[in-house]
Amino acid sequence: MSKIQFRNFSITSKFILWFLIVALAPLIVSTFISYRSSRNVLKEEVSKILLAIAENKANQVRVYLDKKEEDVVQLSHMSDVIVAVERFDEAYDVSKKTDSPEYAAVDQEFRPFLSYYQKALGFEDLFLVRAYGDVIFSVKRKKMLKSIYAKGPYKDTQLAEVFVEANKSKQTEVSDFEYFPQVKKGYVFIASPVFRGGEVIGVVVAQLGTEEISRLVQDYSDLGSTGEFGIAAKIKDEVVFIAPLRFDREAAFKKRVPIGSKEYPNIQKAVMGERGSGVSMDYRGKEVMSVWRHLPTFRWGMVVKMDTTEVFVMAKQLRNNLLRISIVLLIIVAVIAIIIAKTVSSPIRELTTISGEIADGNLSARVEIDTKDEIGELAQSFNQMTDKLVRAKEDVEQKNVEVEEQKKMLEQVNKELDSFVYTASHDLRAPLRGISSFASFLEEDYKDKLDDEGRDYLKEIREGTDRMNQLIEDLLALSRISRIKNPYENINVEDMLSSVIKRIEFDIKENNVDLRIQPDMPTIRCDRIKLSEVFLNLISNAIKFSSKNNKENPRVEVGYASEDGFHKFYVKDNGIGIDHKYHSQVFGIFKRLHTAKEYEGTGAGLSIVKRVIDDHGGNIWIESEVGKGATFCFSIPKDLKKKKKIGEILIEEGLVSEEKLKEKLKAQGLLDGPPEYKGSVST
Amino acid sequence: MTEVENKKEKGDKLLDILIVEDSDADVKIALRAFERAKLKHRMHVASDGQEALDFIRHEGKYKDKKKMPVPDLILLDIKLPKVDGFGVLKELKADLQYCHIPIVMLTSSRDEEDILKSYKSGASSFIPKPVKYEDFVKVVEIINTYWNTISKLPNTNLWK
Repeated sequence: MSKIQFRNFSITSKFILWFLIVALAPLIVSTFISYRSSRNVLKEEVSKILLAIAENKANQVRVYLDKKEEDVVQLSHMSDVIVAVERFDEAYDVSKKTDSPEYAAVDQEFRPFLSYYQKALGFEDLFLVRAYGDVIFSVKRKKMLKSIYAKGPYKDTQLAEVFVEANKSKQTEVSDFEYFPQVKKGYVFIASPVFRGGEVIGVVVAQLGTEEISRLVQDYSDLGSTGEFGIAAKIKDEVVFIAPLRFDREAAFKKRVPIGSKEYPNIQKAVMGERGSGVSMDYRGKEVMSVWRHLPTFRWGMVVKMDTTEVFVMAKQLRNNLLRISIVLLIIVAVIAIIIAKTVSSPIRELTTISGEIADGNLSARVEIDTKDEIGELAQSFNQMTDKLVRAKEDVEQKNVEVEEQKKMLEQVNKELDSFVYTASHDLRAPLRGISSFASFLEEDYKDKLDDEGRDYLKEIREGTDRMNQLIEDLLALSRISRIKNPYENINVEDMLSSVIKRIEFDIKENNVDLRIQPDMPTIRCDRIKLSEVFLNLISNAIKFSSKNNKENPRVEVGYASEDGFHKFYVKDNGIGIDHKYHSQVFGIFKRLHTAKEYEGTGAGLSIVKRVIDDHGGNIWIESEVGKGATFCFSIPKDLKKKKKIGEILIEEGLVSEEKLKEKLKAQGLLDGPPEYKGSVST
Repeated sequence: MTEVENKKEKGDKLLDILIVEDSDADVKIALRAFERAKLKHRMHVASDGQEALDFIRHEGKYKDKKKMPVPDLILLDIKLPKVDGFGVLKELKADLQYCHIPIVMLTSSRDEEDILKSYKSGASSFIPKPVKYEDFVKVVEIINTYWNTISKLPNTNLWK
């Protein structure tokens, strides 16, 4: 689960993101606001339009219905109709039947004229009802002319009701709808009283169908593709649609709901006399905007409605346009953001690439940005930095070359010096042999001729040559140690020590030395011959000093400790010890702390030891105090590499042509001060 | 020492020993050392490599001296004028007539290379010249003990 974090984005991504946020946030807000406001405006507008349409349609319907009412009123006032009522009344009275010759005569006289009006005025049927309540004429129902009351077929019909009302009120009356299941149609009845001499002699009743109203409400002009009218009337305790709906042609008289139910609340409200508007779901389950009102003449309700999708199509178009603009803007903004981000990030990227190249060692790489902005400045200082780096590197390389040259030179000088020492000491031997031998001859041949003083001088000469011989031997040993490189091998130090001890067994026994060697010595990698020399020298030294100082129980300890990366060995004696201030001196060649008479030897042993340890890349030091014995410690690296010491040259001993060497060293700038050991060969 | 004296008393024979040495002092020391060791061998001296070869082969200034013996033992220094010790060594060891003569390198050198080179070239022994006279005497005694008392040398007269 990797968490996406903004700060891990590339600069380009960040730019794009910020640009989009900055550009799109107001756009989205303004789109939303304008969509909302346009929707509201539209809603108001449409609701007004719908209201106007409803008003208009209601007017059309009312005009039509008023016309029909008026038609009936006019019919009732027509003298022919009045005469017809009188004549049908008389004819009906004779036989109480319609099939009497009298009735037939009257019928024949008036039917064409009444039938004509029925058709001309668009009524379904036309009735003449006399004041007693008998239907005395019907254009279509000849055989059903019976009394409105009692058990007749008109009992409880709207026809009967409207007649009664008109008869009573002496005014034109309109009935409620009556549904005729046989024809699946509903009708209203319009009744207008017929007067003669101020008395109601009968009522003209017109049966009116809904065809014309249906035609009127199916005119959907100004209503777009989803607008429609719904007209419903109250039939008994139901609200019944009396005209077809746009999307339900069979709705007339079929679609009905009980009053008070939750279905079609708007039409219910309209039927019940309310008016209003609102957004709701229609019978198709679509969201619609509707306006409803009451039609008082017939106590009908009318709803004009339109799908919101259509109503708000403009708002939607607006919204879609805004969205399109947003998308275009989005792309433009993104492109701009990318361009800007590139102009910002590409130099940075170039810097990164170039610095990577430089880090990989290509110091000739340079950033090519020449803008005058901050990044340009950065690039410039970066290039300057790289230039400096190149110069510094060249300096270092130059220095390295110089150091390497000096090193080689030093090695060469060292080699020359070693070979000089070798040759010189070698060649010193021949004359020394002469001095020594001829002094001996003198002593042998002229012993008697010399006095004591002369003999003493001879003795001094002999001793001097002996000592010089020893010095030469030591010098040669030291030079041998330097010249000869034996390969490193894995040596068991215990074995090495036992072979070393064999070589000085005589010494140990003679001095009665208690030599203790720590068990479990390691196996180490070293130059076997030279390290044996080290142990030999150190142990011999220890024996020498401990036995001289502590004749009772001279003791020498050889020990080992494993340290981090090093083997540490030590050789400890219980001799006179070494004052701290001399610790660094004792490793110099021919450095002695005591006279030759006190302790024999030339002082070369420790120089050899130090040289061997140095060659191994190790260290040697002394832990000692006066009177408490001395401990010589040395360390050998566990991981032995080809470490070579340069610079430690035999000029220290003042044995070579110093002038020549100094000149060379000065030319290389290596000689700052006087050499560490200025002293000449001792004695 | 007493052993050497005993052997000498038994009557070791006298040898012809050639010392090849350019240093007069060293020659003197060597001769005196033999003297001091009471060894009466017939000592011959050549001061350079060429002279040594001439002496052995009876050439050059030794041409006429037919009486000059072929040495029984040669003590040879390395650093010599004209022909050095190794030159002499190689010449003699390549010469069927003289390659039997034991050659003891008696030299100031203690160089490992010189030692190895000497033995490789056919030297019979390598002895570093002691600095002290007393030691020189000891060395001479030991040379005598080894080559005259213990070892058997060929009878050179048979070759003549």
